[in-house]
Amino acid sequence: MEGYLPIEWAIAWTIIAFPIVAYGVYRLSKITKEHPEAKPLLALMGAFIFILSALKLPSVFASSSHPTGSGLAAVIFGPGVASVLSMIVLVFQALLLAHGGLTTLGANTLSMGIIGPAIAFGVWIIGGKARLPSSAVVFVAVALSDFGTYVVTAAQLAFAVPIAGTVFDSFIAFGAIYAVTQIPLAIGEALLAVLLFDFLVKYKGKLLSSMKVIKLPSLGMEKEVNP
Amino acid sequence: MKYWPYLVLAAALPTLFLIYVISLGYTPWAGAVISLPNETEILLFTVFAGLGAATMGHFFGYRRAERAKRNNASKLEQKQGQKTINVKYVALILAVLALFIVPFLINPNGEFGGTDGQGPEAIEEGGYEPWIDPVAYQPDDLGERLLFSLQVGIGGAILGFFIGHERGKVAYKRD
Repeated sequence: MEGYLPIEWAIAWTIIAFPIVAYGVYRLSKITKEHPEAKPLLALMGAFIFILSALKLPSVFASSSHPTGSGLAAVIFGPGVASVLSMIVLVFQALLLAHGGLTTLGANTLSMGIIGPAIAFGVWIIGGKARLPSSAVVFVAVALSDFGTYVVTAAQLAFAVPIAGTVFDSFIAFGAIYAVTQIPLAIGEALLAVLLFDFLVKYKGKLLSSMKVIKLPSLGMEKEVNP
Repeated sequence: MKYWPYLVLAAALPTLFLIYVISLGYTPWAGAVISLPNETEILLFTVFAGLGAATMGHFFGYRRAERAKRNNASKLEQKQGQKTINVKYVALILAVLALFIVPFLINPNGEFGGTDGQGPEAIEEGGYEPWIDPVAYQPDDLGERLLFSLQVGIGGAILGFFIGHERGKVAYKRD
């Protein structure tokens, strides 16, 4: 996508994304200071984004796309940290794989690293307030985050390059490419996220509750396996 | 710890991968026997890399946790951890596999073009030209596959190590 985003939009998205990533770096250093034992978990979330964003998964509509993986990171560490992790992956892909691109880095960080994770985090908070089962909330949060990322991508392109005349028609046109393909992928990513989240609750429940991600009794969690 | 599952995987995965690469015609020894859509080919490359790296990561993580535990507990006190297969995990994995295998069954001859290619195509049809050429390194076909595999491999190794380490800690838990 290098060069497909007009330069004024590339700069605008970068300027919008920058302070949020900076906030993410601040959150990251705060979390690693308060919970040094959370570092492996951080690496795990990075690895999850690394894996999922490199998989070109097929969709039932005979096209394929990438999941994002950043939703789960947002549920566990908050959207700020998710934006930093996403940006690291996007830089890796832009430099080594000629995938994405440096001019689109700001726009991609905004869609995959900021708005997607923000959706996941919002759903997670609301689901927690409503005392819904955590697995179900993770499923919805991650699925919407993945889908939302590509809706935002379609909107960003529609604003910058209105291929179908008006911005709204272009948004529908880009949405038909990006968002529709993404539906089964979002479900698949959400299932994988539930799998990993369940594993983490079972084996890292104490750490997650000390980070205030889950409350041990209220979520009806199984007894801590790992003393 | 049991070594045989790792040995089986360590033998099976590279063998399957070699067969896959040869039958795609990347080696001088044989021409292309199968031809897959571009994106599907990349997906299978990355899946091989991910599984291989995760297996290795799991092995080292498990062994590391187990050795740390062994120093703290005498052999007699060691107790094998739970052996049950978690039905929920199996169901979730099967659901994910089904979700990404069904598309191939519905569209056996589908192109499965990536949206990352369709987007720019749609933009260029509108008469827009990119204003800058990619400055970053441009890998060729095989290079692209290997770099995607590298990315999944790095992630898979970390994921496997983490999961192996956690499971290893529990497997020899003192009660």
